[in-house]
Amino acid sequence: MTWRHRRGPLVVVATLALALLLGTGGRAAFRAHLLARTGRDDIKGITCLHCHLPVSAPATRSTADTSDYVSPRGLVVAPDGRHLYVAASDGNEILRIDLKTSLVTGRVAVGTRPLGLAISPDGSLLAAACQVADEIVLVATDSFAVTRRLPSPSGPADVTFIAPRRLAVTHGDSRDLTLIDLDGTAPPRRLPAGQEPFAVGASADGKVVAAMSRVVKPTPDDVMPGSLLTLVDGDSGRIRRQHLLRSSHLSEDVVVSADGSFVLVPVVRFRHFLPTTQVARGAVMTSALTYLETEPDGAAITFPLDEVNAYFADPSGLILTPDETLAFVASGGTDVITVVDLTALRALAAGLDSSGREAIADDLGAFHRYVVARIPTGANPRDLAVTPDGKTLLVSEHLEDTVAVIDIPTLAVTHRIDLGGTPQLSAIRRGARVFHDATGTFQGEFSCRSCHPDGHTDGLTWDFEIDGVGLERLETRSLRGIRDTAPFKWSGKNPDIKTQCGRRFSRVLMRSAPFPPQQLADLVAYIESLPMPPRRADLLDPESVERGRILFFRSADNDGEAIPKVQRCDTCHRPPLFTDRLKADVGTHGKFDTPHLAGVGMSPPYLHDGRALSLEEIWTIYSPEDTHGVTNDLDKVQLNDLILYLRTL
Amino acid sequence: VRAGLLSLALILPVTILTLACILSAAGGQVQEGALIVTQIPAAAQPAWPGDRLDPDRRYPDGSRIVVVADPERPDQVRVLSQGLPRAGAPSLSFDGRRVVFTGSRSRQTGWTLFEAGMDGRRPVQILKLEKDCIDPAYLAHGRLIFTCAERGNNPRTWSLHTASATGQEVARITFGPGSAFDPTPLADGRILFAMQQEAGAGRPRPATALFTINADGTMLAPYTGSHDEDPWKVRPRATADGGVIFISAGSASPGHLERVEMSRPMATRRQIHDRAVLAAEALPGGGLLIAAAPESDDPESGGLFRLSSPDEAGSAPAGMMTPLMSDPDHHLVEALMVAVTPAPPERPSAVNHETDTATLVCYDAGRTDGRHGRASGQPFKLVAEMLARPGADPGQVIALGPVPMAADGSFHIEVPADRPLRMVSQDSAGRQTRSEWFWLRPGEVRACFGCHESRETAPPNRVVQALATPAESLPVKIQVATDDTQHAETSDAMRRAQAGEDMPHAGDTGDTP
Repeated sequence: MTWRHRRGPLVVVATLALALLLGTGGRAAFRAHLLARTGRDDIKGITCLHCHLPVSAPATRSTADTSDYVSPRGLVVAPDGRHLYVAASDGNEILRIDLKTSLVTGRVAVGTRPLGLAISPDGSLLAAACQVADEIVLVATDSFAVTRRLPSPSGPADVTFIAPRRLAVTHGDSRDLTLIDLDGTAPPRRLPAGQEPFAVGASADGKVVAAMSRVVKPTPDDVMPGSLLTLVDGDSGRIRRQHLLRSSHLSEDVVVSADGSFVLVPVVRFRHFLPTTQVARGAVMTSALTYLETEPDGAAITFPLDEVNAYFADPSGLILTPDETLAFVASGGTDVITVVDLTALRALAAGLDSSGREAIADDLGAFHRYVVARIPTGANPRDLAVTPDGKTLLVSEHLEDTVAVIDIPTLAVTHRIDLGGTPQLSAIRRGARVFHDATGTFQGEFSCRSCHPDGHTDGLTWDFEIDGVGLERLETRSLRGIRDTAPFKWSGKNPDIKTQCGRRFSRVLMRSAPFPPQQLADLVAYIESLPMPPRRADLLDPESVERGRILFFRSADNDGEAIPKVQRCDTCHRPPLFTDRLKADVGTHGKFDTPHLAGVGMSPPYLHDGRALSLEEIWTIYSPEDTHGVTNDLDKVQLNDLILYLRTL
Repeated sequence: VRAGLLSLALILPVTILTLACILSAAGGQVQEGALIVTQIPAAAQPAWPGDRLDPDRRYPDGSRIVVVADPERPDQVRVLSQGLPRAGAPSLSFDGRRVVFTGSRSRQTGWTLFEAGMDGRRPVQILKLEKDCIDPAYLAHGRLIFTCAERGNNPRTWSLHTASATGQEVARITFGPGSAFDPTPLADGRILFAMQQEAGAGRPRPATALFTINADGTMLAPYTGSHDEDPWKVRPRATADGGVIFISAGSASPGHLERVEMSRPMATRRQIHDRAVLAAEALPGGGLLIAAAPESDDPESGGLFRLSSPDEAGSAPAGMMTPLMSDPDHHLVEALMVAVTPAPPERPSAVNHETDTATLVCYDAGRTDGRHGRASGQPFKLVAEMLARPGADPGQVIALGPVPMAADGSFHIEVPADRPLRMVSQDSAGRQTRSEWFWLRPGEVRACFGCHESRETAPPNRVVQALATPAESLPVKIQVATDDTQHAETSDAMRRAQAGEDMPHAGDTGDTP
């Protein structure tokens, strides 16, 4: 906390005393103070406490104590079928489980938030993608000890072996797929792989590598966005093909067939161009499985997983049986594993003409031709593994701290493996379950997570019915680090998160009963605990960043002219929150809540309706009259410096 | 003496209160497994589904509701509808402690709703409307849904209403020209019900179909049977294994039990038994409780049966009817088993009573399945029509005027709320296709994905051109006359339509908003 904020209470007392003493004169002094600090005389309805309550910068780590929880994510089974390895994303460990006894027989600390997990073809080496630690951690299976830590900056999310000594790693923050030679015979090869590449998979021989981006690249209003599937030649390290899966996103897994002939990706099909007048009949989003033939002109067909009156939200993990006759999809929002007859699905795909391929993506009656079963699971199933004999499916029940063991011939849960998390659920843990649970929506269409993956943003704009359809689109705002940034909504109408997630929210969006009071309190606790992603300042040129910082806090333009207070960056985006929590008109046809800037580099698009596709466009296109701060005097290098600084926040 | 009297005055109320609490608590015990049965005298003839909207025919004098603890002792029953000469249509509360039903004190007073406790308390009339009200069901928080019609008029149009648990806050929620009846709650909070439709869209004659609706009357949607010929589809009930059963019948014939799957209600309709059925309810542990009609060659063959389902462990083979109960003195026309069941969620209302209009958006009026509506890909014009009031003669149609369509086939219009509406399309060859009658509630914003499009499809994600501008109003001033009839003044758009002026159609750009 800065001195400026430690003196806050004194200022409050002094101001109150002054107001009492002076009456009307006090109010005039208050307005004069506001004018001096903001350059604005139109601010109403706030008190001294609006600015002078002590606050701190958003944390980059969760405020929740998650150390008691395991939160299993990535799973791999040893080639000999004896052991299951589990990435404990909150426990920051890899667990080893004896599949005969279903007991945890080993734990090894890796790094913060291990998500993706891979095992070498000979079973001797594990690789864990530690997203927050920015490391790929290698663990020898014989000693079950860490043998090496590979720096992997910018958020590694998933990893796979494409050769005994070669890895493919997705990096969400630097938006690339990196091929890493463990022997160091070649430098890492970084390939662009779309917006937030998340999942990676490879064929049995490693010659076909597929990486899937999780969110869409922002597009203009009339251009269909989609997430990007990147196919790479594992031998040469060159991109073979990139395919935009239109109107699809939030893929957290990708599976390449053993022979590399096809790829399967679980996706959320969003319908963001349509107003959210209803959630029924898939009007907002549906879950699906995209089948793509890897040959150069191979078709990409999206098969719905939902039914007309039941939805299976947040498809996450995907796995095939070794004979590739069945596919299993984990629906994290609905706590269900959907079993797909892959033979039937591929036969259906082969018989579709081009119009049929397009039509089936929206056909909610199609599921009966390839979905053969739905298996209920514990809370928030995320990742899957199948034993080499093809007889057992293993499911990481992320918010249950268990692994479900499913007998594939009977498609029945035989038992659960307790990973040792504490059975007591904190308010934040309960809130995490509410956040990821789609059953609060009318027919289970989506969860909070469906628009806020990892508490962040889906990068889309939506037309909410609440203010009339077709009039205005609103960008999904990130929930990370928002605890002290009230009010909420772009209109700034909601004074707290509880109101934001309350009855009105359920009426206009979830179309179902509001959260019960306890669930709502838990949900608020969870959202308030959401941390900012790690800063990436170390990846950027420090001199440019420093020049950008000076520009952000400048009070005079390049000609030495004083910049009016109201047009300075740090007036509205005041540290430490980088928001003054007031509404402002920045030339976008109205006053909107001033967003905080923490993590702003990772949350395109920008402005309330998402019209700016990048930080640059905020000033180069949408502030020609310096309505969004004085920036027109900046040259190209200065603007780049300013943006680099913003990306460090 | 004074002290004694004072003590008595204090102790007596406390004692009475305590006894009342004890009795209430005892009465509150759920009698799981008991049957609640509607009996009509053996001399009467059970009603067919075609008599569904005639409560006098369904429940003749002497009809009553009883609790049966042991189906093998039909003579040992407890009458729930005591004091009422006619009663029927029982529905159990989700906590298994109360029963709401239709009853009549006399032919003069008509039909209304009563509620009885499973503890044996006498039934209490909970609705005081000057209408006949029948077929109640519980919703979340004890709220009720039922269907009502004005007394005396014949033929009558029945419409769904909701009320609070105490019979207050009565609100009408259906506004079509045909009767809406047989409401039952679904697990997701919607109401499933039957509604009469005109001939057309594949139906050679009027017929009922099943629809869903929210408890506030918004989001009317066809569920199943819209294009089928059989005149009656009644008594829908959700089952625990993801299905919906209902009784289907001809104009004057016994009903048969059919089923659709919730996952594909439009495409999975099938008959599940060939026995003539009067009523069916889902059993808590799986299977169905059937009230079967007597077979023609054996007048005493009727009664209650259990129809086993495929997923029941250790029960009779799937599809087998096992006799449960018969009664030589009565026909057993309805039955349900006492159980505690989860209440559906209470979904928030989208109705805004501060306005009398609603908004209708169609993403692509040209989108059709090519089977029940206009041929796909043909140019067409669209006109909106309405009836002046719910239940009005469908022949007395008021043209609201041409619907302004954008080039992509979308439109965005404001229409009168709580009035029967429909869209009429006319293709280049002059062929007309009508939509079913529908309505929107005040303030409702409804999106249609097409016209007669497949109900199994989600809408494609695309920019909707009509949403680029505010909704175009198709205003009609409804004037309420003293005789409670209503008529409409024509709007400019309506006058244009009546004068035969050209209507815009998909592809036109000159007259689009």
